[in-house]
Amino acid sequence: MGADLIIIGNFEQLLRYLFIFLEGVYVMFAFLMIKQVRLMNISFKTPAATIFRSLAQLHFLASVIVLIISLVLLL
Amino acid sequence: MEMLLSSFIKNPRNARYDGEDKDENIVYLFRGSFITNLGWISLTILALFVPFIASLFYPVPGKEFISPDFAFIIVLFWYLAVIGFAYHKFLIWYFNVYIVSDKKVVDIDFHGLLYKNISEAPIRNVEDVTSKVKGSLRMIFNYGYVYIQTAGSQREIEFEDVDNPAKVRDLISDFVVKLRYGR
Repeated sequence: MGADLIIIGNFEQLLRYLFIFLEGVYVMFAFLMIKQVRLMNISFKTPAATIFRSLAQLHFLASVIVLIISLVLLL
Repeated sequence: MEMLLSSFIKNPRNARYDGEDKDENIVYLFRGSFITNLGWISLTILALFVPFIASLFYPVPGKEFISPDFAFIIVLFWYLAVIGFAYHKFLIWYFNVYIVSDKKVVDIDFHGLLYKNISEAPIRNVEDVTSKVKGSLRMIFNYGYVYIQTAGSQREIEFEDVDNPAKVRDLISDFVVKLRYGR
């Protein structure tokens, strides 16, 4: 029983590290998305350009906040 | 709103593309049919329900293998990723545009995060316009391809999955004739 708990505990710890790594990758994706939206707005300009840029920035900010919450709660 | 969700706009106001001349006017703006978005929209809606469905089966009392904190973070990240996925898909659809101006035919393509392709040809060089509807879904919803062949060695320009391709072909052909012969 005790050995089982240790294995499960280590497994969760491993999952936590993997998950935080995944979130780091996602933050990079969100950052690239800001760059892409900028490029898109240059290639094709519409009145909604500001909205698209703001949403991409908001998405990036949210991904950073989720990463910070994860670091606080999981490590 | 029209500009946001339409797949065909005549004389769009306040829309410009990179490389547009000052005396140039966009006459037609096309995008892929909105039907082409149904796949990712359905997937997004399904994905939004995944945490609810998972909560019916987990946690099984006495068999939790992750802590409540970790479960909370997973759900939070899941929703963020679903929203990010949907937003990215929408952007790809929105910015993949096909433009017919009084000077040029322009095809702006974005695929994924790392691919951008812009093709253009002078409208006066357009020689042949062909439409093609292939596949059952395209037949049912009447969307498909329009190929614009231009003079010279340049590749043809392709409008992908536009609504009513026969009408698009006709509009472009008529517009080219009007520009060349003034009728």
